[in-house]
Amino acid sequence: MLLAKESGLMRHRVRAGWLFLLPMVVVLLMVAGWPLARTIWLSLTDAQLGAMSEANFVGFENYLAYYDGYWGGVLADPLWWVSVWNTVYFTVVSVFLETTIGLAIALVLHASFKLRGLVRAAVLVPWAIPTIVSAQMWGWMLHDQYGIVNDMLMRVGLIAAPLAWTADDQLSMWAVIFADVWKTTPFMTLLCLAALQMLPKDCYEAARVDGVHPVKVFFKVTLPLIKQPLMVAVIFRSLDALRVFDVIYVLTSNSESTMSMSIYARQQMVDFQSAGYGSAASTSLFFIVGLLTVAYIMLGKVNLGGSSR
Amino acid sequence: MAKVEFRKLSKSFDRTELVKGLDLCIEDGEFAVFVGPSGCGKSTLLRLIAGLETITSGEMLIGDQLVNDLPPAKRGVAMVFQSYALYPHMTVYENLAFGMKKPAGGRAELRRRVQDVATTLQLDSLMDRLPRQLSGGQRQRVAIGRSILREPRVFLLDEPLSNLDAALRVQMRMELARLHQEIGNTMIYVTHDQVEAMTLADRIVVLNEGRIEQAGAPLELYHHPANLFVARFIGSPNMNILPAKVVSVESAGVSVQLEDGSRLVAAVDGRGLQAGEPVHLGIRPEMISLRPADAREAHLSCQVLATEALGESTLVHVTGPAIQEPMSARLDGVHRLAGKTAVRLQLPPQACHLFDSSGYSRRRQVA
Amino acid sequence: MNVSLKSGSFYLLIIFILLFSLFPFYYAVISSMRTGTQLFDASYLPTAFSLDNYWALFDGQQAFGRNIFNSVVVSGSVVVLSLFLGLTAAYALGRVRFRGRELFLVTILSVAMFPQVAVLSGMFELIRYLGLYNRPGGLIMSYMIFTLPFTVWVLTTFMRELPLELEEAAIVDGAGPWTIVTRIFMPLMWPAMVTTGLLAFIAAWNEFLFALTFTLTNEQRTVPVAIALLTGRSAYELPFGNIMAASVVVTVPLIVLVLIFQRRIVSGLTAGAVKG
Repeated sequence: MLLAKESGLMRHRVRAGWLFLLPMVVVLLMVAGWPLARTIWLSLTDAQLGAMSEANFVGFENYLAYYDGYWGGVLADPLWWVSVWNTVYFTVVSVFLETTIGLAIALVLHASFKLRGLVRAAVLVPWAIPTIVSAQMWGWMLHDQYGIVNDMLMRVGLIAAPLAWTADDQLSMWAVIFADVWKTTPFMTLLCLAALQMLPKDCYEAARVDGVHPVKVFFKVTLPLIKQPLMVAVIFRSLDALRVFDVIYVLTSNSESTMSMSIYARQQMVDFQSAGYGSAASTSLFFIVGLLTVAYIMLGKVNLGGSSR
Repeated sequence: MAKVEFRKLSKSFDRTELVKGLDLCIEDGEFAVFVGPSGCGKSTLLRLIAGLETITSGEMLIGDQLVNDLPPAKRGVAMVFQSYALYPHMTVYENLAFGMKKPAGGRAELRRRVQDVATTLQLDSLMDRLPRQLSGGQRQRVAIGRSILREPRVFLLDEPLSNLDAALRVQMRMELARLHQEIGNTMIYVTHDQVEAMTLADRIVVLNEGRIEQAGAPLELYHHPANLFVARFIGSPNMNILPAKVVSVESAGVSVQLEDGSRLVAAVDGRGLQAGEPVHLGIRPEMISLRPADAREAHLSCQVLATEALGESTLVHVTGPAIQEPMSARLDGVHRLAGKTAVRLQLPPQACHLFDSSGYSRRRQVA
Repeated sequence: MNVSLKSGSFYLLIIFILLFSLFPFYYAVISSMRTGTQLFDASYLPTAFSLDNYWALFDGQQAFGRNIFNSVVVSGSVVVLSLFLGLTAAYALGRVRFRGRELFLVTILSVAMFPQVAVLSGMFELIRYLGLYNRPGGLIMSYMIFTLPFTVWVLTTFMRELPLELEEAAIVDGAGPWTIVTRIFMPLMWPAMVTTGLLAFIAAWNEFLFALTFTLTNEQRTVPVAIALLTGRSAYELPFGNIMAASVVVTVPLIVLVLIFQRRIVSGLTAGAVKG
């Protein structure tokens, strides 16, 4: 093995490697590292969006502070906690639905039938549609007066009068979840399908010859074997769902019943111009997401490093 | 009982016919081996018996029961796959127990049976291992154990030894033979390795392009191949084939002339052959003896191309005016012959095979 | 009977899946061809075939053509930059063994996954400082935060799969790292680069939060922002005809791309996630 040797050649390669890495690292530090650090710093100041150079250090006042007789700061704002709850609720429900529906569709498409290629392509269509577009499409279909979803439900007799999907506090979260599930299920289907295709085919033939019931095969063979890729897919989707912004912004804008952490932070920062306070919210979001990820990886014992080689 | 019978059995994929109207009956308790070159339809045939593929036309019977539309599980068969098909996330014990029918005695009985089979196959100490922690031979034994536990009427084995190294293959071959003696069930075994076929089979079925070329006992196929294909396929190194013309048909056999003009006699039934008819003469390498170039009594003059010393014998490859593809002769002991040495080959009439112009063999007068 | 019932219900399931996947887009297409009061009637079949909504997008008042141009410029530049930086980095991460490589990869991956809003104010400040506010340059720079890590990650996965012997042969022949990357790996990596580039393009094309925050005027907006903020010709008219027309215009090219490159996209996404 030429490359495994600890030699001059090896040292030369490592040096070249760092050189090749450098441009990417510099760019990432500039567009991710620096803004992140600045955001965290700004969260400790009273910066206004229009005049950020005049910021004063205020410590943790944006997070939590005791003024005369009442608590202030992001962590004392009930609306912040509403948005945290909304985000977590949205993430859990939509990722759960996407995973189960995605897996179900993948199982169907894994069978061989005529026109399978075409059906697989068709299933990908929602994934190709920009989130904003899908949100607008669902906004239109869920329109309270002229929406086709109300029309369908009324024809079938499930509801008597049209529902205000995007305006009603009880329903708007579900409207958001529908739109997200529709748009993102193909991603899960795709990953599940890829995982299913990596399964050893002969095991299934062995199970057929042995007469093992398909349901037992699914729970005892399929599920344990795709658990690892499925968990990774769920992490990716959850991280994506925790930063949800577009679909909510378009469907229900700043409504409290669907406000996510991202919506809250951006509203404080841009609409109310309080860059410091908004940064405190986004920094909190950053740490919450980080904590949840670490917890999930620890609990699920997921190997993210791809270090098999 | 469980004999397996095909009646005009055919299988097509997208208009390509892989199995072409086979008729065959494998008796109860028989060890039948399907051999043939890759793509001959032998694996398809096995999968048809298992029910993993559906029959296009014809009938299949297992133990006198028509099974054309029966799902795999109801056919009373167990299959050992080429890649073993062990469940990668289950331990040896779980793999063995997974496909078993629930025995009347409950869990304890199930555990006892698994234990019994594991003991027979020397898997006792490996019960908690995962397949990836096993050697090839051990995996092989787990796969076989799993099929035994199904208590099938018919065992199906799809090239089970092809992923093992040479030494292990010999050992597993013996174990399989012993297993068949012990349990006595019908076994159908697919391989492309004719040594496995020769050593294991009660009956060999040679397949080619979806048809049966010949079915019979191993030595029957060796001594009396029905046609050129079987003659070439069975035996190692391959039988030598020489183009020839019939000179005359005599009571002692058929006298033929080779392309270099030399004549010799093949002791075969020559009825119906006409003088001048093109034929093929066949002779196995181990039947040839080598003579010096000036030996008058020997038949074929030729030149040495190369020799391969195998220790107990020597393979001599030769070419000459009568020879299209290089011929080989297997000589006992060690022989040193330089390249281009002129030699003569002696082809005993009793050892010669003769194939008519359509490739069918003439019955030889002696075994 | 049993078999035909089984396959019958199987195809019913397929039809249901197809309806679920395709109906919303189909409905957007037929809605986009309805104008005025035709939109009030929720019928399931195409009832009108007017292209007025499409013309209105490009009548000068909406500047939608300009929005599309912006999106193409921004997404295209992002793809080119990410691929270049990603390929060189992928060589280092995929082929050179050095300490901390795995940690490095996980860090990069986590950058791709962390919430963009977490850098919003810092990024805003940086863009202002560089004078890129309300300009395509600001978006190009900020989009690198999610396309670059993703590109590096996927290309590294592909790079690892190339046989070691190729590189050893090149080293024996005296090739340096730069030659190895440009002359040996680049040609072999083309399929992977097409896949990754396409996925990065789609991600940039669809981005909303940065585009919304870092642009101000309609002329500088990208397509998603324009569609989100699209209004009807008057306050009394339902804007959905226009919105659906705009949606169809920006979605059809994407759908065509996805259908053409279906296999490549699948391999790219799975390289990014399943194998990861």
